[in-house]
Amino acid sequence: MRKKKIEYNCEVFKKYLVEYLDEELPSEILIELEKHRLVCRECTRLIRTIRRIIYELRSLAQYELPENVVAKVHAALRIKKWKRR
Amino acid sequence: MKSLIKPKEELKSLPLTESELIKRAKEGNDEAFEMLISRYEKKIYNLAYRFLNNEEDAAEVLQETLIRAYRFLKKFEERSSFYTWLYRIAVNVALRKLKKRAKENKVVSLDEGIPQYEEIPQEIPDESQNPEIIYERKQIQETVQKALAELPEAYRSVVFLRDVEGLSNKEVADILKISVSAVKSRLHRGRLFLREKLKHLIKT
Repeated sequence: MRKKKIEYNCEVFKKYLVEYLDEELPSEILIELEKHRLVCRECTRLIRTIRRIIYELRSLAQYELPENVVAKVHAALRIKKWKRR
Repeated sequence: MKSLIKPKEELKSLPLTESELIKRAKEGNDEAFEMLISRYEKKIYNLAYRFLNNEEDAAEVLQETLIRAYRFLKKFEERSSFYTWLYRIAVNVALRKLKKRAKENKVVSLDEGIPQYEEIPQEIPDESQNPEIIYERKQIQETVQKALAELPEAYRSVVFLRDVEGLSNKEVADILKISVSAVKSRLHRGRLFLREKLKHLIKT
């Protein structure tokens, strides 16, 4: 039986999106996806948006750890240690 | 019997590796344990904050995580990194707290207790002095924070660990005790959810 040829459309592109962005795809699949992307404005936009979202997530500012929280947590830890002795 | 605990000054002056600190902490050296956890306190607090969206709960999760880490340190076999192990504890504590809160049906505003942020790193130097760009970046960051907080929990933990923390699929799978394919699937859905939430803001 002949193997059914996959049609690389938007649905397939979305299915491989995580691996595509992680650059984990075997070259034969990657080539087909790139061919689709070249002619598909929607998938090109999708990739750009997701990349931008990842960039924004990676550059999110960290919450400051308040001094009083550190003091409180360390005090609680000391009590626990003391109780275990 | 000779004490295994070294005097404070001596321990601080030694450039100890993480595994040396773990070894000493397991032997009962509390100072080594404190040095070890001090490297990750802020990260754990941030993780808890992203999961729970308020300062008080985040502080409680940090406290519970460190107490558990102290209690179970001897069981840590160093098959994963200390960071992964500690993260796993924190995620479990945070998830339990989330479930408890859901049961109590405690409604928490997404804007509740938003703390002071550190200065946002300027990654685009050419635009950094432009007030409009600075304002736009601030708006984007605030909206991304909010969209992340609105993500369904199953997606939020994965998106946070992968895209905010930059862990690998395998590390996330280990921490959350799910398969790598489940990580990828949740990540995909989570990113698409964020895309919907942010489409008005991110023009591409």
